[in-house]
This record gives sequence, structure tokens and C-alpha cells, in this order.
Amino acid sequence: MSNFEMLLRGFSVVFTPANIGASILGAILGLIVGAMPGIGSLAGVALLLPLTYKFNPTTAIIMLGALYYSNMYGGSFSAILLNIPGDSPAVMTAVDGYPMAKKKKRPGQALFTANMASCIGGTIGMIILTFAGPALANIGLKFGPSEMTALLLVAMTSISWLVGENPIKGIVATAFGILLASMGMDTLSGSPRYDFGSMHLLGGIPFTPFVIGSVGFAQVINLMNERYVQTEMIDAKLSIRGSLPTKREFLRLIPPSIRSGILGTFVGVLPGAGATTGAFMGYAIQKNFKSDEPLGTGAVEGIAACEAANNAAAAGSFAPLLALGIPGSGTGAVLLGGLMLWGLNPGPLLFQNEPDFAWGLISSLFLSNAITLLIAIAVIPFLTKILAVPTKYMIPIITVVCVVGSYSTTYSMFGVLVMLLSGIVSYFIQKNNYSTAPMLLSFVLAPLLESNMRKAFIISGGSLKIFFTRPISLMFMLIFFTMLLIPLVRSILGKKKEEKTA
Amino acid sequence: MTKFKVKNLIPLLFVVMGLVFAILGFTQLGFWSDVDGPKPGFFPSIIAIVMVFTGLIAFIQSFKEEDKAQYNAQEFLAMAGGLGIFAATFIIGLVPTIILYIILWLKLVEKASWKVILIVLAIACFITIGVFGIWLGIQFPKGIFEFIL
Repeated sequence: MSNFEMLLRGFSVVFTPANIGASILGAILGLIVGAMPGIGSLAGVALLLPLTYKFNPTTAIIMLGALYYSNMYGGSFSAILLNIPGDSPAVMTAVDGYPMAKKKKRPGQALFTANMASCIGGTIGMIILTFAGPALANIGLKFGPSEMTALLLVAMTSISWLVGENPIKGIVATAFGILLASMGMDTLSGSPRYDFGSMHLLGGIPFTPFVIGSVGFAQVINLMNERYVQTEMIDAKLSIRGSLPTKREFLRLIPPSIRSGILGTFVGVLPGAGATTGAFMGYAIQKNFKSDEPLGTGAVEGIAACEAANNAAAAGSFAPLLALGIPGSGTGAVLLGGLMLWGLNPGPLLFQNEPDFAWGLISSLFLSNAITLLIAIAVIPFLTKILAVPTKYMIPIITVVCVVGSYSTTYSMFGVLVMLLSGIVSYFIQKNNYSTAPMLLSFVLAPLLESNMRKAFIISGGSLKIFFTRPISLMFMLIFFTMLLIPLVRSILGKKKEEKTA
Repeated sequence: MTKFKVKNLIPLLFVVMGLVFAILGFTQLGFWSDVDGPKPGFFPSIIAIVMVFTGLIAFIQSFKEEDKAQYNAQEFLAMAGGLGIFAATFIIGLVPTIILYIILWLKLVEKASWKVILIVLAIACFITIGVFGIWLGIQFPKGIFEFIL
């Protein structure tokens, strides 16, 4: 069957009342989470994970996928109306979105432009995903344990390399996540390890409470500083009719949306790059093209370029996640962890063994895109009220969701304890510039990396040659070592430069 | 003399953790078997060694980097709130603890009006009892009352 036929088959899976309902719910929650400054898609997906246990895996991932995706739309709302991005991918949207809303007094048009560009960029990302996902899976089928080991090393290193300012701290956070994941049972022999005599630790650190804590509860602690931040909301009464862009504005947003849609998708496929990098690159590329007004002054092209790129990157990031089982971001890692909890194994065989699931998810993204666009336009008149909800009242509600969510997934107060401790630890390490994204990614990927590495060593009889004699693993190992060495070389060169100038 | 701060302590804790995992991995779990190949301690021990070395580099770097981290007493209040819920659940159960937490938090910390407290309480009860309790069928702990009843 061709990809298009499989996509249609996916739609037949999606079009059930439960799945459509899950998609609508995910879209609404994603818009709210995205619009609220300080929560973000990672915390949103983590906090909602326990709710999805009620659903079957397809419905559950449809809801989480819709939430992640619609979060990209929601992030632009507060960027445009408050000049505060709801989530990091919307940082660049504020550069043109806020001036368009404030100086030009066209907040509705800025919101409409962001929504339309998001829809165009996302659609391009999904079309590319439809073809690239299975193609990537076909390549992945050729991978043995050595290739998978090398690829996982690249994925883990690249996220620690790309996220945060200091790659050493990224590697420390990665190692921390792996060691936490190694507690409990040995992946191959099943014998207990690092349980420190605790019965609770025999089953390892439970994934959902760990994620809820390190993302959700850590965010609650951070929000304590933002409770009394004064924001200047755009003072305008918004209506859907009054927000419609002119024909000229509509024509202006299309070329940057298409360009950024294609670029953003490829950025999204790269491990560690994600929607934020996509938005930055989309905006940077737009600077090389003609705009009716200069970028940064409220140009339609500026809003369209970054919004299309971040939505396309969000769609593109599903390609390595589904086809290779490798998430590109912290949110992707949480989605992957959720898939594993539901008994699914994303990877090259997913499209063969679980076609209804894989194609159902891809089709659901198209559906979520359309639903999110409609809801995003429909909520325009209410946005000023939604964004006016004070952060200080969100704190106890999020804390309660963290506690109840972690209890419900483990049926034990041990889950709540794990959530609290991981939240406190994440708060301290984030304060000291250690990113939690590499920790989450490595926590999820560690069992896969360990089993592949050990299998590779069993095959080779303990020889490292297996990683350097096969072309694909050799290529990945070269990338891996280059990534490891670049910070070292950069530091040596920096010191030499300093010595010369001194 | 440079003052020892949290930014210096964190990488040091990573180093200690790496050492513990490496020692346990090598001595108790085993690293390599000539017959079966890698043993349960093989992979975590390698990672633990990586963590010890990178942790040491981060520790040295921590003395050179500017200390930007600022700790606010309010942040510790959020931690205390979470830990308070955990402790009180063992006595009065989870649902009453949550209700008590919201009332105390909003009244004492946020100085909110009763109208706001009731709205937030209604949302929290809808999530806890409605969504998790009724819809997902979660049985919440009842604390010492469970034994009395």
C-alpha cells in the first residue's frame, strides 16, 4: 500500500467519537497550556500523562500529540498580547507580534497571521512526515545493535550539546538520567541492581512521577518568582471579524510560511534541535528575503516565518520518534515514555507491526491541525480574559495535579515522594544551568541503549571493532566523537586566543 | 578564599553519585564475564565513570563561572507545601489534605479572598474527585482514618 493509502487508513482509525473527542480536548488544553506563560508543552504533556491511562494507546497518543502540537499555536497568544512567550518556540513571535499588536494596534491581525502560518507550516511538516517517516523506518530496519548503539549515542550527545550553554553540564545531566534509569532491574538478566535495599526501588524509578516532578513540580517552584510580575496586556476588544487580515496581508504571509514550513520540518527531525531552534532559523532565513516592512517592527512576514517553522518542527519531530524510537526533545521523550508504558515500541518495526497506531497518529495530526486552527480563531475574543488568570492561583492547582497524578500512576505514596524529590532536584540543577531535557531523554532511552550496547558486545565477543567496521555505525561514531571533541577544541582555541590578546 | 556554594556542591554530588554507582557496579554487580559477556554492572559502571570525570570538570568550572543563581524563600515555600501534602496524607488522607492545602495556601500565602478560594477549590476538587476519583476510579489513601473506620 502507498503512503497515501495508509494515511487514509489512518483517518479511518482516527474518525471515531473517542479519538475526535481526544483530539479536541488535547487541542483545547494545548492552547491553554501554550498561552499561559511559564507552563509550556513539556509540563503540559507530563501533567496530562496520568489522564491518558484511561484511554487505549491510540486515543491516548492522539490526545498528547494534539496537545503538543496545539501548544505551538498557544505560545504565540501571550507572545503577541503580553510580549511574553507562552513557551520557548514562541520567543521570536514576540519580536514582530507584539509591535504589530501594540504600535500598529492590530492585535487580532497578528493573532490571525500566527494561526494561519502555524496551520500552513504544520501541514507542510505533516505532509513531509507522511513520506519521511516510513522511509526513515525502512532505513532503520537495516540497523543492528551496533548501529542503534551509535545512533543513540549521537541522539543523547546532540541534545546535551545543543541544549544549554555548557556541553559538559549536558553530558553530566545525560549520565545522571542514565544512572537513575539503571536502578531497579537489569534490562537483560532481570536481576535487581542499585535498589539500595528498598522494596520500592526494585521496580526502578517510576517514569510518570519522575517526569511530572522534574518538569511540573520544578516549574511550580520556579513560578513562585513570577507570581507578581506585572504584564502589560494589549488593551483592545478582540473579535473574530475584526481580526481578519487584509487580502494583501494574507498574500504576504504565504511565502515565508511555506519556506519556514519546509525548513522547520527538517530542523524538527534533528535530535535536540526542536521547535525553538526551528523558529529561530525560520526568522533568521526570513531576514534574507524581502519583507514589506522591516522585521522587528511588526512585519507579517516575521510572525509567519517563526510560527510556521515551530509548528513544522513539532510535526517533523514525530518522524524520528515513530520511525527510530528516538525523540528529538524533552517533550518527545515524555511522549516516547508514554508509548512504552502503553506497551508500544516505537522504532523501525512500528509501521509494520502497528500500522493502525502509526498512521492513526499521523492522520490525527492533520485532524488536530484543522481543529486547533478553528479553536484558535474561535477563542480570539476571549484571549484577554484567559491570559488575565493570575499565575499565583495556578500554583496550587498545578501542585494538586502533580500530587494526584503521581499517586494515580503508582497507587502508592512512593510515586508522590519520587515526584517531589525529582522536582526539588530538578529545581536545583536548573538553577545552576543544568538542563533537564538531556536528563529526561537519557532516562527514557537508557534501557534501549544498554540492551543494544550489550547485544553488540556479545556479538563481537567484547571487541569495540563492531562499532567501526560497519559503515553506518562508523558514520554515527564519527559524528559522536566529533560532537564530544568540538567543545574541547573550542575551549583550547579560546584559551589560545585569550593568550594572544593578553 | 573562594566561598563554597551550591554551584560547587552540585557537581560534587554528581561525582559522589558516579563513584557509588561505579564501585557497586564493579564490586557487586559485575562488569564482564568471559562466558556471557557484559554483566549487569557493565553499562552503568561505564556511565558512572563518565559522570565522575565530567562531574569533576564541571566542579572545576564551577569556581570560574559567575554565580547567577538566586534563591528565594518563596521557592522553598512551594517545596514545603508539596512535602506538607505528602506528610499530612498519612494522617488525614489525600483528599482532605488537598482541600486543607488549597485553603491554607491561598489564605496564608496569597492572601486571597474567600471567593477566589472557593473557585480554586472547586477546580481542584473537580480534577481530584471528578477526574481522578470518579472517572479514572483511583482509590485515594485515607490516612489513619482508614484503620479507624
